[in-house]
Amino acid sequence: MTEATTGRPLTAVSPPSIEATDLSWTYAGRSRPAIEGLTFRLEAGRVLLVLGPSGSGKSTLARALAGLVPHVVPGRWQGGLRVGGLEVAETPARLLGERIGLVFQDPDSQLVMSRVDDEVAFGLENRAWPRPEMVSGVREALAQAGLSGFEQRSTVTLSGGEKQRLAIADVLAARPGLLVLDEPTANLDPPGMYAVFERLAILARRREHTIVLIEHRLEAALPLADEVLLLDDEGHQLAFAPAGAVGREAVELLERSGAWVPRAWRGAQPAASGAVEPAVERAASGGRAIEAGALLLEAADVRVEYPADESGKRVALDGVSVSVRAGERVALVGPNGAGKSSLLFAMAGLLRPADGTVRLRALPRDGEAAEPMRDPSRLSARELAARIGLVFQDPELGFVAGTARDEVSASARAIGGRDGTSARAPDEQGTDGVLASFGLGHLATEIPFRLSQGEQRRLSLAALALRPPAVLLLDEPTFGLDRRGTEAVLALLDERRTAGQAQVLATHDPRLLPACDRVVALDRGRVVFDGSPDAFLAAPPYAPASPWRDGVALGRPAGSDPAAIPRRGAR
Amino acid sequence: MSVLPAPLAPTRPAFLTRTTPAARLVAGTAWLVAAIVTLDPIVPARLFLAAIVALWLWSGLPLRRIPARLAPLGFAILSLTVFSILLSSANGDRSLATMAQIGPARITGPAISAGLAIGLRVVVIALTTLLVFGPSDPTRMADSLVQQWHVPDRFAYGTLAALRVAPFMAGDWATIGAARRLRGLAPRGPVARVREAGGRLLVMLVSAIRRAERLALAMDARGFDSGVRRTHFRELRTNWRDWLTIVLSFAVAAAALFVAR
Amino acid sequence: MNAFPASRHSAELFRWRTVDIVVVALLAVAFGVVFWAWGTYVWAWGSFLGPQTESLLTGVWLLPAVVCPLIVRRPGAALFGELVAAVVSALLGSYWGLDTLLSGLLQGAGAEVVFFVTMYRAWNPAVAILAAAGAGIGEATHDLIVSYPGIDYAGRAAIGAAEIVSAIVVVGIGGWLLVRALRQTGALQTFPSGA
Ligand SMILES: Nc1ncnc2c1ncn2[C@@H]1O[C@H](COP(=O)(O)OP(=O)(O)OP(=O)(O)O)[C@@H](O)[C@H]1O
Ligand SMILES: Nc1ncnc2c1ncn2[C@@H]1O[C@H](COP(=O)(O)OP(=O)(O)OP(=O)(O)O)[C@@H](O)[C@H]1O
Ligand SMILES: [Mg+2]
Ligand SMILES: [Mg+2]
Repeated sequence: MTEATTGRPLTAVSPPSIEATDLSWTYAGRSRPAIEGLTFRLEAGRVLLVLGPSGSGKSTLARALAGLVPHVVPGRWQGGLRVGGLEVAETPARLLGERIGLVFQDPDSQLVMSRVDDEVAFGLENRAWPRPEMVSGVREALAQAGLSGFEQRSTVTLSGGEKQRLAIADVLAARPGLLVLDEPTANLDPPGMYAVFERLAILARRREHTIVLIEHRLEAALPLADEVLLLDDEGHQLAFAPAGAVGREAVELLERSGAWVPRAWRGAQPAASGAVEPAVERAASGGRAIEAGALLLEAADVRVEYPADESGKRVALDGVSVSVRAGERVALVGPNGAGKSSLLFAMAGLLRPADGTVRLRALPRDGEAAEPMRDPSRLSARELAARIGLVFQDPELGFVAGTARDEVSASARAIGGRDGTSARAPDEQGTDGVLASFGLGHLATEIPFRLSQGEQRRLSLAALALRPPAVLLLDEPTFGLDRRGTEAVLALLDERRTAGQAQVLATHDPRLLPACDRVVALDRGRVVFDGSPDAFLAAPPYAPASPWRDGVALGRPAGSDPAAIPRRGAR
Repeated sequence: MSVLPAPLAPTRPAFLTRTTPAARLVAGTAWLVAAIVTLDPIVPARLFLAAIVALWLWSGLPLRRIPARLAPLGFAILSLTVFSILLSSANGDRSLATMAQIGPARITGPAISAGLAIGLRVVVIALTTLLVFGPSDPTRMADSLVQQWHVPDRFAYGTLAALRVAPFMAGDWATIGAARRLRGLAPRGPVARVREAGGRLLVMLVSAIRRAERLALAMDARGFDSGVRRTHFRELRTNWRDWLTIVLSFAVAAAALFVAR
Repeated sequence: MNAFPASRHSAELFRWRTVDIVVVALLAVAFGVVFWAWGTYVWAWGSFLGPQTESLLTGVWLLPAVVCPLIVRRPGAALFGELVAAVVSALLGSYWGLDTLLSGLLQGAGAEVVFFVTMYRAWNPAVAILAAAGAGIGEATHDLIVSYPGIDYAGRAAIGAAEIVSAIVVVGIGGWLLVRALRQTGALQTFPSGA
């Protein structure tokens, strides 16, 4: 108590235990609870992995542990949740805040200050640390997160992965007893992800923190976990069990709810009939109607620069040449900040290259001569929309309509029937069919902004389904999606590719690589590899290469036969 | 993607970069008031010279980038000056000599001098603003207001957090426009264009509100609303340079106002 | 702990949550960016049309004074919103700079007075229009002293009237419609205005 009010650093906060008894939470304005009837007890210093499909209330539980629910977010609370003997609903958020560190899903939304060192110090200032200890605390935390030397950088110019590591440094600096991490590696490249998991493993072994981890990279996360909590899509508890002893029934239920399930669990218990094979495997086994065809997009010697800041002009891309053909799916990989997003933006004509050219054209139809390659920035909106589409990392920014249904039909209505293509005006049935195929059928009249993160991402893809462009660019298309969502995405992509669409996927998700035809690897703004996924995985063009090779392997069952690894064409 | 100008940050250490923002605000206010209170062009002219000297010698700002930065100002000054001259009440005063006759409009000496005063006033305000805000970043400004003026820190740092997001929002604006274009939405005709701009603005504001909610949640998770008296990572104290700056700026303002021609 | 109670006690009314502060600040930042663009690209050209016409364009500066309070419904929101927007446009290099702080203060105060008179309880279009007019009066006061001191009385009266009309149309009516549109997107759910 006295420590809390005078605000001295709590250097030796002991890790708390967590006890939930029939815990439920309903957000204001929602009729159904986000989590319902959670009952479990996690001992101090242990690691809990929370698994469940998108919208199952994982993030809600994280917020409850930090006291944001119910103290900051409005809604209805039932049951009990004790953290280290403190009843969350009755303890002021500030007392909880001193014991708990929370790392969120999205790095952009949790950074507060403009400069890296100020950013780490922010949480310490709030906890009234004396200045000398703040200075050393900031330095240590940055070193732990691998960001030494970044002190003076502006947080705006960091890449996604750098931001996420900064968010982890923020939390470590305050030395909390309970660490809650909500998908902390979603934006990280393999070496970055490795560094985080290594860090978490060290923390877990020291038993100085109780850790609650929400993570889609199950193969990496599972070995760290002592206990697992399984949630279904309605926020009910399916099971709470030691990580090595999850009942078969619970795994089946989890599987059916659409969540990712560790392969180790499925391997141990042969999947029940009807259990879904990983989407990637299906994508890999599906044959293709046509082989890679006409050249659709060509970027030649592209150079992209961002305006200068304190640390000088940033060259994001330097002499990058990539071409994409009809019916081809290209994976764009590379470390954080390599320039993947910048390249997609340049390809879509959203960023004008400082040097070099981008050219694209529509899919040639049977028996017609291909149109000439054209500069995207010279095309009219309608011509452009028929030729290229981009799914942004943040789907909200792309919404153009008031309801999910209108969102899906908007493009088709705008382009429909014009410029000679064989478009029909979209009928309601077609639109609703698209929504249903993305699991959004019940949300047709909802406002797009009100959907959950995963639902928004699916809607942004559904919006391109009725009038597919010749070239589709996707920035981290499976980020934050559960298994069901990933499958829906891949199924749609497969269908479109069969029809000749060219696809470019910027991704950190190794599970997607085997489903692609080609891998283009970037490093510091240059192309360092352009070839088959197999060749990429055999010899990743990065030094050291092992995180890339093993990072990809993290998506495989531990110790499994390499021949069983899903590959395109391997049946 | 950004439509905003790159910040005009100091490129070398200088006298003013080592003063506190609060002190510069006080000093700048003296010039602002001095420039506003009279219609005599000689006052802003003197302040203009003083501001140029201060920018040149003590601001540490990249001088070569300043003219481009202030270029749009040209229109405003020109129009303000011209209209102030044309519409001046002094033009109706028959006891004054006619300096020029433009069609029906008679222009008198005092009208010209008032117009010049107003044009110069805008230049002085712009340069003073550069001197106040230019030498340090917004974080220092917030630190300074909180530590020296005891502005409520939740409001100061809440605003600062919002400011961090400003570059994103400019990016959002561009991205939203691009996304709509890529979806084939090309408004034809003025009504469609206005509707389109409205839709775009709405999406930007919605995204701003979302960002704000998530940011506030993250701040509260890090103890921002804890009610504890915050400590300061970067400490600022009023120093002798501050006092010198304030005294000198008041002296210059007084001299500009009261020293006879 | 529950959703927003129907009537709020005054202690609660005066205690800004972090989310209130950040939303007002961020909206103000958004408006500050708009101000800067407006001032740089539109106003500068519009000013060639002469002070009276140009004054019809000034309403845009007053949006935060009405939109921010309509969303968070807290005392001081008009003043805080206008000040932040002014600071932002000054930081971005609006050439009015320091002077925008002064005008922001006057505009915010003009609107704040109206909300104060309603005891922060009424949030209908009529109050929005009155608050907009209040902000317009603040703006006119500033401009007539700082920008157009030399112009004759008839001219100044016309300018003042144009600014207040602009405020009522752009901010009172436009601002209220904007908040309504925002509410319809579901973005205001965590605020009393969206419940
Ligand atoms: N602030 C909020 N207001 C209202 N409803 C919310 C809010 N946040 C989340 N929800 C809803 O609560 C449910 C659980 O959401 P939550 O974010 O906890 O899911 P999640 O398991 O973390 O999903 P994901 O894997 O997509 O991140 C969803 O139906 C979501 O739409
Ligand atoms: N708006 C911007 N202003 C300045 N620099 C930027 C901007 N956007 C990106 N950068 C810089 O350009 C480089 C490439 O960024 P980009 O976002 O294209 O990388 P990325 O490969 O998509 O990274 P990630 O995997 O983290 O998303 C990085 O060094 C980044 O810091
Ligand atoms: Mg979540
Ligand atoms: Mg990226």
